[in-house]
Amino acid sequence: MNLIENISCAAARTQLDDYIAGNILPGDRRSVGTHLRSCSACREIFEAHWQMDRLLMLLPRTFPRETLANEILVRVDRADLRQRWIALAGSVVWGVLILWVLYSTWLGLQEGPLAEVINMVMNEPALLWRFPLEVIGAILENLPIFEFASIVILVSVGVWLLRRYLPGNMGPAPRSMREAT
Amino acid sequence: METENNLIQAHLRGDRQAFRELVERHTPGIYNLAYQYTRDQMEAENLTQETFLRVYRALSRFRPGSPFRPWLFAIAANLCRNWSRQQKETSFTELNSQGETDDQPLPMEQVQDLLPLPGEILETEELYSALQDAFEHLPEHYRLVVILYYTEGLSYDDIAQVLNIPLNTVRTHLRRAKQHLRQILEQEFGALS
Ligand SMILES: [Zn+2]
Repeated sequence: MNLIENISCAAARTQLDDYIAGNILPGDRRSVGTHLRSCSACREIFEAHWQMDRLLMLLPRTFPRETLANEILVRVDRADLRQRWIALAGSVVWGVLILWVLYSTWLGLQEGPLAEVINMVMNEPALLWRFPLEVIGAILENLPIFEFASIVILVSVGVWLLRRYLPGNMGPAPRSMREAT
Repeated sequence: METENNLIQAHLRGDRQAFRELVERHTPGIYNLAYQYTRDQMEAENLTQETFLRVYRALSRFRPGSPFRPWLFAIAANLCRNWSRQQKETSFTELNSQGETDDQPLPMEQVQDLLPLPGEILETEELYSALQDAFEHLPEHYRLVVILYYTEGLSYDDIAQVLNIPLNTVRTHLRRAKQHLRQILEQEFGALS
């Protein structure tokens, strides 16, 4: 039995572009082809599409100047270098801040209650293994919490900055193509 | 030839030659897109440079194994559209305002059917330059789809991904682009029977 799938003109016409582009399932391709052979109105529209398709393939491709790729690489290098300098400058500033806080903490430790605990342990090291928990408790209790928190925050921000601006790893990740720009 | 994914991995490992290879390989395509879109060499070069600069910054988070070309073209196409937004006056405002809105998906049935151009036109030598003129007068969003499909050879799926539009809108845009071109060619060559 000869099976000819009959499709409507509307159905054939909606598939014309896909038919020309080859984006069509074999069964649909056969149906459209069969329809086109038997329907002159649709064939005329098909010819128009095919004609425009051929014309559009004539559209010229424009080529860049030969040096453009090099210029891009130079610009990327420059941007990269700028980022490295920013990272370096940021690191220096952060390093100085951390040193300053460490220094002031150390100064504070010279006279505060923590200094007394440390002095006590230095004079009698046996305290360390005889009452370890008490010694650690005393240190933690007298730790200057503001300075300690400052150090932790500064170091974290510094590490984050370095990771963000280290070469080859600049900028937050694009989650989608749109975001990528 | 190394695949794009290998080159990206090599670049992330610090191989400077890998990024150079990516740039050299894709500069012509991106430039062509930018030039066909802007019709201006300087703007096209700037957009191409900007595209690769952004690619460089975003490469570390590129999902390994996913296709690179659509991702790259998406960045370029977005830059083109941003550029276009910045341009105060566009010559296609008139065409655009004829009841069509950007990215509005329409059922294919609502897109008018094409009629073939008469044979006499196809045989004229002016057709080629008329086609280029006509192309320049296409609304921008149609032009993007046409460039990506006809000169860059991207598939419908890739174009949908690049422009972030439904697959059916890609089809509709292509069909409408052909209609517009035909209309413009018609005007160029006088009334066609
Ligand atoms: Zn028919």
